[in-house]
Amino acid sequence: MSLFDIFKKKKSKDIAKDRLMMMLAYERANTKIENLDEMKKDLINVVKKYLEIKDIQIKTNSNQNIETLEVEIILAK
Amino acid sequence: MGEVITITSGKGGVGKSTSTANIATALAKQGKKVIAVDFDIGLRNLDMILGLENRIVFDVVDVMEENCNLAQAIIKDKRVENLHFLPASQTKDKNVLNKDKVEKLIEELKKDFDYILIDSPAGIESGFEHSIYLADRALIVTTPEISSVRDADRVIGIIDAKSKKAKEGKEVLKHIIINRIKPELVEKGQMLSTEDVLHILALPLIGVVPDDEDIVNSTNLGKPVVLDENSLVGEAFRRIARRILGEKVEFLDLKAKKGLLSKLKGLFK
Repeated sequence: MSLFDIFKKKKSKDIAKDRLMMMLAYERANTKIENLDEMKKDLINVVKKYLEIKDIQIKTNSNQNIETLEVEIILAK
Repeated sequence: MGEVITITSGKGGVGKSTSTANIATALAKQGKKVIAVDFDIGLRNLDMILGLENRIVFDVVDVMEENCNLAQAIIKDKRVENLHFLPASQTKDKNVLNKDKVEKLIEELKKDFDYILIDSPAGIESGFEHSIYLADRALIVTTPEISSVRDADRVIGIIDAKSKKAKEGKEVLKHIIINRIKPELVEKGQMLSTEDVLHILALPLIGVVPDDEDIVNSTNLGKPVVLDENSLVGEAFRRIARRILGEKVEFLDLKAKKGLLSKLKGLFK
């Protein structure tokens, strides 16, 4: 890299890369588990054996290096 | 038992059929018994790229619906020994495929061939699911453009969910083919580089293919470019075939062709 490069505009491919990485970070978080619906059905069936429930909500979450799956069981009143 | 390799992409028009035709031809030239199967029902193209469109009598749907037997539908290439082709149906609805019929067909082919290359349709609908279901290996074709890389990422994310092998706890090999690289643009920082694409998709590379007019010409002629010994893009595909066979081959060093002017510019950098 020469001294003059500092004053140059950001290259278009770097902008493309940044945009892609942002988009994919979002999309990957939302499509992590393809069989989520199936899993949800199975979970409901298992939990129903022991509890009366209204619904189960599953959320993916990633925080730096840790990825988690949050399962929220909403009980029937 | 043969290996099933599915060539896929997500986005259309990135070179799946061209890649399938060339890798199949190159593998056959290496002495392997190969069949290229077109799964793009209703929008077949592999026949023309292979130059076999005039020899089609039956197609893959005829086989599945038992209008003919498998041997009747398979076309043997007369120019390349060991190369075979099973065309997609052009007229029938793409929904005629179903998992059991696909499985029966592929299992049958695995007995007879070393390599079964499946040209997957674009998109992530049922056609894609059928073509990936029995794959031992997936080759994901992408060009260095944002829309293509984005769709490739999406497809990579669902391969395991749709694969029988992955469901059985085994690994489906996944490799990236980066197609239509323009070295001049990469050098100027106007196109994503090989490293950029791999950084984003986080999968191993199996081939870099330059954007080359030889492809246009070979497609016009219906003669896969790997048959042209002097073609650079042909060499790119030949190397992919060798890597599939387990050989360690260097990747092509793609550099921009330098004209006098850019050489002069280079002196003043």
